[in-house]
Amino acid sequence: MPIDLGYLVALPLLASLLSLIPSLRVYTAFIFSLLSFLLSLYSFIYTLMGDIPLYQWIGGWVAPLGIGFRLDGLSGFFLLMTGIIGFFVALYSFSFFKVEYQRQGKVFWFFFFFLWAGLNAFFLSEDLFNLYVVLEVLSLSALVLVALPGHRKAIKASLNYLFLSILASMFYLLGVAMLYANYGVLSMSLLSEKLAGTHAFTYALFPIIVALAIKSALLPFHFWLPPAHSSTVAPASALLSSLVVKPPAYLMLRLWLEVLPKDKSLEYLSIVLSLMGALAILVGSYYAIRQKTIKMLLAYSTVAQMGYLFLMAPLYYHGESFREALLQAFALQVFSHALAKASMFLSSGNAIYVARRDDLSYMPGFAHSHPLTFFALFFSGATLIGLPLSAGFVAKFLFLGLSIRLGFIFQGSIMLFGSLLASLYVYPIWRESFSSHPTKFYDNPIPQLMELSAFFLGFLSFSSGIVTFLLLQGIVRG
Amino acid sequence: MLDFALGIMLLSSALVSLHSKDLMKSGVFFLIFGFLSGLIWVRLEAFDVALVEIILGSAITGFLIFKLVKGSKRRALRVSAFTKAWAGLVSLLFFLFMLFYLPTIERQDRVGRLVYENLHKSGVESAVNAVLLNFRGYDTLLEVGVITLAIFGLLALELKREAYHWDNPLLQSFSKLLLPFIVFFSLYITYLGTFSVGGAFQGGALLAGGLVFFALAKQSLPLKKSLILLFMATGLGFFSLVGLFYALLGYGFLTYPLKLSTLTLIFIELSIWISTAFLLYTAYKGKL
Repeated sequence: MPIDLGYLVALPLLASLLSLIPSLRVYTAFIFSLLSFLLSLYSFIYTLMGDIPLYQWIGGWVAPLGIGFRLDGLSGFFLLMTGIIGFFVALYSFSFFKVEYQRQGKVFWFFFFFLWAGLNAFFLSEDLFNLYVVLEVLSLSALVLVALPGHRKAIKASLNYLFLSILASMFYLLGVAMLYANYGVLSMSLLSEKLAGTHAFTYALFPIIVALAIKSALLPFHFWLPPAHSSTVAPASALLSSLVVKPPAYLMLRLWLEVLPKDKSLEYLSIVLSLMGALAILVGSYYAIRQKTIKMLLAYSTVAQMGYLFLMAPLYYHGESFREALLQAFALQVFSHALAKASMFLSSGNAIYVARRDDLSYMPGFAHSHPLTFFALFFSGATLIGLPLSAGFVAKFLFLGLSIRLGFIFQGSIMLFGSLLASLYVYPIWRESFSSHPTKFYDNPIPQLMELSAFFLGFLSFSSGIVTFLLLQGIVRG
Repeated sequence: MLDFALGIMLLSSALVSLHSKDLMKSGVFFLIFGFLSGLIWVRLEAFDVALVEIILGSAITGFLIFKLVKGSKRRALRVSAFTKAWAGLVSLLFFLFMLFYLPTIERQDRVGRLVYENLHKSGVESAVNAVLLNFRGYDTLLEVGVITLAIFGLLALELKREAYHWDNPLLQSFSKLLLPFIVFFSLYITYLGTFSVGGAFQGGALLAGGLVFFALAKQSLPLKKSLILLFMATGLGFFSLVGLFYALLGYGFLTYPLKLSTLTLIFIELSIWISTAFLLYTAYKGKL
């Protein structure tokens, strides 16, 4: 039986307000993060068994008039991803804000739940204007999460992010207004009907694509990301780097595969995006290799990993007949990176908790002192590189197979090279985990929950590669 | 002709605002810019937007700008040549883009007709508010969320800024005298929203103007901090609770049954009214 999809948005919203009451904060945080997780899980399981795609018209007003929720394989999968990461980051934050940043812990939950509501709303919505509003919700809550520590660096990074994301929002809104002016509908399903078979109109596309590229930090617009994601507290970094950059890329794929018509200018655009993605992988990895602090390293690695999603843009254009495999590869790449990056940032929080600084050379020898955190770093690193069995491996394998079948050898080889580069920037983290130099050997106990949640995220990111056939069942079904 | 003159004035106010040597002068011209764009909305017959634009763009923004200028040590906008060139290039590109794009718009029927056909099922008589609160109520819920989020973000970062006010006995008694009228007038505008031009955001913005004026005259509201916080959260909280309530009853998320819809919408309007007012007021004060 399908549930009302509105719960997925309204419950986290309510939770964010309830978390403002000091005496209820801990209970609210625990109960509502569990509830939201269970709801996401339920929606995911529904996509495995029930009738999909499931449309729910809010207020009973059908498309051109009202707004719709749509639950299908892809959105169900991403809801699951949001649920898992949200839940584990919540568990981590319970301990984290007890031992550090107590002042920030008071306000963290408000923005955490708001972000969660926004993510759920984004993956469910099928109305382009509604997506604009949700993008605003996402970037405003992300903005505050960036500025949370309150020091100068964080505020500056967050202001930079604010200006860029406002610019991107304006571009997006412009594109949506143009689409509405010409077609009179905002719903994606109706728009695709209207656009099917035509290829006259492509103006609106450019502002939208530029906006989405800025929001997901594609290469020439990537400079806001590393300072923003590295200067804030660990749980916030984990959320930002794993989840907040993903929705724009998801929307791009949706538009590309389901809405936009076949048009020559789109093909050129896909090539440009692909080149930018390739550059993002190279540049992002290069800077990640050169970083001396763990959080900057991870942030640059996000730039590189997001590059894969754009690198494959020509496949989205040409891969009509391989639609299913494409969606699977895309979904897995997003999923594996999100889980792995969340785990890595949470582990970096552990490292900073023990060493009191985030230089790589001061990283504690986790392999000796805190094996759980070490395994978190190991599993998530393996996923980022794409070592066999991990979900990252399956995603890259699928992408590689597709790019060979469709004849995009350049894209395939860049992807393989990217994996090699990823191993170069993950390696220092592993190496430092084994360092047993006495001065770098920190034996403080880390709160159990902080270690466990980082470990489970890393473990899931790796082990989900083994059960991909089950995870991707919903996407196969439609 | 009138439109042409308005356009020229709008552009020149923007230019003066960008190029004046005095920060205060820039601010004043920015307000004029806001007011003129409000007038343009009137010319476009979008009275609801005009109302909000004039209240927000030329009143509330005005207070915020003056507060900022008073608190800032800089006397003028200093924009580097690089920024100017960059901004100029982007504007030029945008202009060219629009030049090519605008002729491709086809005049055709959008959802306007559908709105009027379904108006009697929405619970309100004004088309704008039917769209805002019922047909696309979910968007409005999230928009209320966006304002709430922005202001709470401001509070969470605890940016220390002194409140700026005028010390003038005449003003103090005048603001005391004025506030009750503003409260009633804003309530009236909110109520008007159900069948004509007006609505919760307009009323709320107006009330916020009144409250800010009150604070500007060095008065403080006899309300506890927790109560103000409650008012700020009311809009989002009540709206999402209503959505959940109807979902639990089995009607569906934010789906109002026809009999209850007018009542529900009026309560939602009231909650948005009060929270908009207090959110904007807190935005001005910068702290609870």
